[in-house]
Amino acid sequence: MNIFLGWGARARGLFADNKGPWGSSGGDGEEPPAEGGTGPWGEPPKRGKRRSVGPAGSSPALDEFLRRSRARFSGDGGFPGRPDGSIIAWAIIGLVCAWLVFTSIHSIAPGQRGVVTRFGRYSSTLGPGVSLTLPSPVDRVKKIDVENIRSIDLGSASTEDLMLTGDQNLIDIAYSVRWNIRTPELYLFELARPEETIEQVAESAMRAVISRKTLNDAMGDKRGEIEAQVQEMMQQILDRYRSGVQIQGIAIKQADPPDAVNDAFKQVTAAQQDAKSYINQANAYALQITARAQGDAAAFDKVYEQYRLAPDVTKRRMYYETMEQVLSKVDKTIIEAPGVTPYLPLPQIQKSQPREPAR
Amino acid sequence: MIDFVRNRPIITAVLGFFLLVVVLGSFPIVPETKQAVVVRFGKPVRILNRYQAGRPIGAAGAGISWRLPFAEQLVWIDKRVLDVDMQPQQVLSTDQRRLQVDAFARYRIVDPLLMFIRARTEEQLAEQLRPILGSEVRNELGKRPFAALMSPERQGVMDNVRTSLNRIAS
Repeated sequence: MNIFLGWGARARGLFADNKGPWGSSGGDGEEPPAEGGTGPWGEPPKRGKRRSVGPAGSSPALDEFLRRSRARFSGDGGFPGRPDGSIIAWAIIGLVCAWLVFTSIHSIAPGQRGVVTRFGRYSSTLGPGVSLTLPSPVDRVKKIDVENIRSIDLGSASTEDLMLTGDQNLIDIAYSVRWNIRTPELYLFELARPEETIEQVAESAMRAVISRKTLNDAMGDKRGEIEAQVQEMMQQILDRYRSGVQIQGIAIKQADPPDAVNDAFKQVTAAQQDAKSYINQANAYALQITARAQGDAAAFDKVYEQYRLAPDVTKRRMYYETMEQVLSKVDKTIIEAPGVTPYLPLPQIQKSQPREPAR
Repeated sequence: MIDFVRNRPIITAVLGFFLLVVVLGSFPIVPETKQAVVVRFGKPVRILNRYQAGRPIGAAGAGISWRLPFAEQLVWIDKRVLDVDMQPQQVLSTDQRRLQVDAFARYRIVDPLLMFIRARTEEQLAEQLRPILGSEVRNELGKRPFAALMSPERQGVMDNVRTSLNRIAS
């Protein structure tokens, strides 16, 4: 009761001074109640002051405005019946109708769902197509795209996103998460920041899975397995948050050793390739040698065959051939009989002579 | 009545506006994503749309409510799952290895009244939770050898952090 008395006094105070009623009454609605026992209306001194200022401040311009506005409202006959009045009325009716139509008919595109809240409380979810709801301040519809698969990229080629593998190595990993909304009302009402949550959950799940794999597995053929495990783990965590999010898949785009040791890794790969090529070369050389040896052996067999047919002749012939090969490259002095001493080394003079004209 | 309106249009307009504000102010709309503590002259008296585990969305709670205008105020508190993210920091494990740890926690305010009394606002709550999370993570990791943090025991570590965080926060 006290409150209403307070209001009455307040209203009277407001209307007594005819200045700026809009400004002061606008503030009243949201004015917080003062703390303790004083209450929001415990301000009579201020009001008194205002009232004393009031009459002096009510200027002729204000009086004229009042008179005019009074004439506008209470002039001749009011608005029903008057042409301009009816236009205004029709315009208002038209606006209301348009507003009703626009806010109560909703067309939901395929792949979308409309979440209807009635005075803030969730009431239903609209499927694709055209549906009717109550007009705007009562029912509000929020359209949510559920089929559209969104993707979040985590880590990239430029920045390092290091993770610890099970064999205590670091791996620089970049991956993307594809997800869509399974239950729009949960998505809207359960998580404060769904996208961030998905990101952090993805990172957490990825680290957990990577920490159970070795570096070679993570870089090599176990990627598919890792992706599947991360997806399953993320879905579990997100379901526990009741997020209404469906994880469609994880794609590991890059799994490299960290930059600092990447060069070393490349060198190792290069060295491994070198090793392989050396082995190949060696194999080829061995084949070549074997083939030549086999050829030589075959030739020797042939010669031996001939030798067996006529040992003496062949032996002599072979001796001659060998001596011919050997002696043709050697300086030789042929001495016919024993006891003769050569006095002039003719061949050496012959050899040194052609050099002189060249100078 | 009509005469009164004609003679004092401004007074009528002000009166109407005032009435509108009062009426709108006394029937607040509580959205699904919020809980509210009704405070009458600084003293919490009611809780609107309180979170209860397992209750489906759209059950009683959110929607139109009432309050005494001017006397009661609503303190809005988020009903959704909120998060607190810890800055990456270095932690020593039992075998003297330095670990770079980045942790996050997700929480939901299940007792808005207690939260309002202890922390007042959500920002302050997050501020208070962050150091608690940091120290709990450090405590827990400090008890473990490095190898235990890899592989299956990891989950146990996270569960321990969660239970001790719950114990401290409530």
